[in-house]
Amino acid sequence: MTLDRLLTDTAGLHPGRPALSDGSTALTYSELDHEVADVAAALIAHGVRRGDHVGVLAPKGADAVRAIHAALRAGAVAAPLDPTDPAERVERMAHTAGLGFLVVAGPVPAGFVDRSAPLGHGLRLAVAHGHTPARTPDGGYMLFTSGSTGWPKGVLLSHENVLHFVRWTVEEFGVGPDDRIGSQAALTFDLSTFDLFAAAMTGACAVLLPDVLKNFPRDVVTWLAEERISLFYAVPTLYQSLLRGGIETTPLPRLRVLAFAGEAFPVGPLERYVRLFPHSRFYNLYGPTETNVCTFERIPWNWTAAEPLSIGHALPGLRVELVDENGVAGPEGEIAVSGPAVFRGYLQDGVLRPRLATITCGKERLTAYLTGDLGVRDAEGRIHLRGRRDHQVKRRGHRIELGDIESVVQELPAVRACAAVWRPDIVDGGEIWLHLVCDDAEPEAVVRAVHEALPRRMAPDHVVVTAELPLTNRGKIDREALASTAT
Amino acid sequence: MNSVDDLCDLIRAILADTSAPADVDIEPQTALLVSGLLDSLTIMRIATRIEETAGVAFPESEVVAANFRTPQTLWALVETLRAEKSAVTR
Repeated sequence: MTLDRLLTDTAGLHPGRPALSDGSTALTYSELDHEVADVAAALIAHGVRRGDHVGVLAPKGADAVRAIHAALRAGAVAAPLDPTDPAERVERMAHTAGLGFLVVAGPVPAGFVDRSAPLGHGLRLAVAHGHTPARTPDGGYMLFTSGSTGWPKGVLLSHENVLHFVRWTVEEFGVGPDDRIGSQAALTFDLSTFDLFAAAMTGACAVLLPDVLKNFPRDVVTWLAEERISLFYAVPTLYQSLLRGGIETTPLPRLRVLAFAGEAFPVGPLERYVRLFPHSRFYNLYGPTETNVCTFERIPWNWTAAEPLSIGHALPGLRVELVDENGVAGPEGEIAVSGPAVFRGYLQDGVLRPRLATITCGKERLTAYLTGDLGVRDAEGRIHLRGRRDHQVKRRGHRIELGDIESVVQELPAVRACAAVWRPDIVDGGEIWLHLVCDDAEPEAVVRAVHEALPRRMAPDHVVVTAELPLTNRGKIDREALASTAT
Repeated sequence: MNSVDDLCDLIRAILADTSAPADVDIEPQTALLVSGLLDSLTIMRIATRIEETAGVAFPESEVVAANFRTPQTLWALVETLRAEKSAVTR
């Protein structure tokens, strides 16, 4: 099976069902399938060949989704790009990922020439100029590392990598043609592979959140209600913003699956959600872009904030092990993933570079991807995250996990959001800075509460009370930006 | 703050501190939402600065896309909030 077959097969089974809606365009499966065929034919007519890497630089909407499906149908590697990224970043990404072609809605970035080849729907085709395009004969899907340090690298996924995750969601969530999947994540973010391809696999409708609404929680809540969204997959920061956007006073009887990933969900707000939707299912999904989701936990209906939140067990078909510095599996260590979800490698300067390690589990040796995340297994075999390998800092002789500071501070009643960051640049030996947003409380009182709640060795050197924390383009708290704020 | 032009100045000053492209000029009819000009942080900053300089409370229920479409739509909201405030104090 390939990603491009999903749409064709479903269009045969459910031609008249709604496939895609972005607030201004609504298409049935039959319409979408025909339009994708037309765009794919235009791509081929203008020189796109099986295995070429084709970027799609268009705002999230029906046009971008159509182009992604068309690139896949032409046998290419589809690489969604974000037109709101700075031009230099887009150029570097296109270059490093070996993109031979770019489907554009707006200006053509440096390194490409406009073929003046209209693809319909306001899209045009541009061709690489001055760098050697890469080719992947089997096709696939390309996402990028967040690149918060340094420039992003291309993450090359095979069809099977993406399908492994999508098939599991369809089975586990019971996705069907009556479902309406609320798609809020950027197309460059791996969360959106669920939105697009779980829909295409089952005949559900992918309902794209209009970009102009995404920063307005109240509008997102109204959209969830009016669009009768039944499945929603988003980062915890977004879910938390919806609590301020009135989700607790808006009836959402259709919303039956709420999934989240990408960062830890603070337990207090999560408990409010679990109580608010007693008949819905909640899933904590975990996995880096390089493997997509590799573990999951379904949160029980009677879960409370008193219980620790785990990332659960490996997805069926995958092995997830916790390994020490020598790659030997045990009850705790770095999270290592093995199996059909593991990506093919990074694209750097147009060259595919696999990034795999060998790990040892008893007598068995496995090829695995090391995530950089640390975990520990509980008595039931569920994995609990213990932060990033590179978020452990050493201050005045104490090893401190920045995530531990955050979990303690997050539980203070006045704290809405917080992030602890390491500042090696301030003084020799480094400082821990805590950035926090609080609800209508005296900042001095909150700072006092922080110091009372934390053991002395974990106390932040500096507390910054702010109106809002900066977010990455994936909607997560931007820790890199916080770690470089002016002093 | 006395006019939509003052509000444009306020938005321009806030955007100058962000990574927004420097070549965008803010006029009363500038579309603020289409080009990803305003992220959630910038939206909160604008609401806070309006509270400080216009002397009105900016209710969270008014932080919606319809009010932030252009400086003009935002100014209409400021005038409404001011009218409500003076009606209450009177």
